[in-house]
Amino acid sequence: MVLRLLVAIILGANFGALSALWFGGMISGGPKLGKSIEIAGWHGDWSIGSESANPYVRARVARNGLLALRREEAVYFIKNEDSDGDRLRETCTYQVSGGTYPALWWSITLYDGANRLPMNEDERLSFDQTMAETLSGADARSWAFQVSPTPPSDPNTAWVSSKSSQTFDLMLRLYKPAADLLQDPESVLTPPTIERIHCAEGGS
Amino acid sequence: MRWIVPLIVFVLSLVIGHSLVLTAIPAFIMGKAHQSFEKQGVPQNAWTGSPRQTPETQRIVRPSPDLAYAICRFDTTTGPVFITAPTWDGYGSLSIFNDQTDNVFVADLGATSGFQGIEIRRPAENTSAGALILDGRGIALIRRLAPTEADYQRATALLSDAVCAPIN
Repeated sequence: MVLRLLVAIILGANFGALSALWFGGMISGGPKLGKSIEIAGWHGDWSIGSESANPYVRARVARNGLLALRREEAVYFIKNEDSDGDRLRETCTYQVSGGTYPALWWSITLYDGANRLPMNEDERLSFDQTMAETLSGADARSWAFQVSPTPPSDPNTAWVSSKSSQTFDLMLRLYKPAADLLQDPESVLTPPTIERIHCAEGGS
Repeated sequence: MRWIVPLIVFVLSLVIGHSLVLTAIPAFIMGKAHQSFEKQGVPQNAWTGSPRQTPETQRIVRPSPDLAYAICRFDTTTGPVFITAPTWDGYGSLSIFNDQTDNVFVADLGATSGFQGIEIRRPAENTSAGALILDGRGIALIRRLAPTEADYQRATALLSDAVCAPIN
């Protein structure tokens, strides 16, 4: 009987710990939790930075968004698939396009599968509102940039490098978002589109 | 029947193990962050400007290359701390995080915000109206929107007027 109890304690504690690590996003991504918002495949979690976030969300935020701002300061949306639903990857070339957003300033940054800036020296890590205004005028109503591991053939095309990222995602940051965006993001935000142009041989 | 008691013990152990690990994750990760910053030479009770965020300089997950960061590690265990930073004409914020990773305070550093600073005290020392209550270690973080090298240099220059120090 004592042996059975001992085995029950060891197995129970281990399963409990492992399930907590999984729910907390420490093992293989874990489940989706929190105030999850999805708009055209862009995922936001507005629990980030909040004290009231439940323990599962807090664990996941600690793992994936440590020292993140409250949503009144900045909101974040992440997308890791193109418009066909395929995983974004270094072997393909994409065109990202969009318009204006209800915020003081915005940027789109590329991160690798480990939530880091990809280890390349291209110095093309992000695209932002200032660049969009340079490309398309002060109101930045329509803009586009290319994501690829090598520079575009047209030097006038804006470029974000995916070199050394393997698989990656794009993160849209909206600083000082407008109140109506916070209240009703699905109605107010039209996020950028990510179209796959082509893939290198073997990277279809 | 002989399996009922072990089964109950299994479920109880599972729930306890799950709860303990889950609630420990934020503090564990924040502890690791403190260790990492310390190893990188970030002192306690002083602002340290981060270099422009690049693949080589990144210290936290998902750093923004658009921002100029400055960080201060502090600890209220040995006494209250005063933190402030100058405002400027662009977007900027000063955030404070406790050892559970909660963002417990944020101040706008925009030109019209009028931010003058914040005192941070332990619960037992709360003698100052408007003080932020935080027990133990914390991290303060300044973010300024600085997408160009010129903006970054201007943001870095403002650090000389920022304060993160014990109150004597």
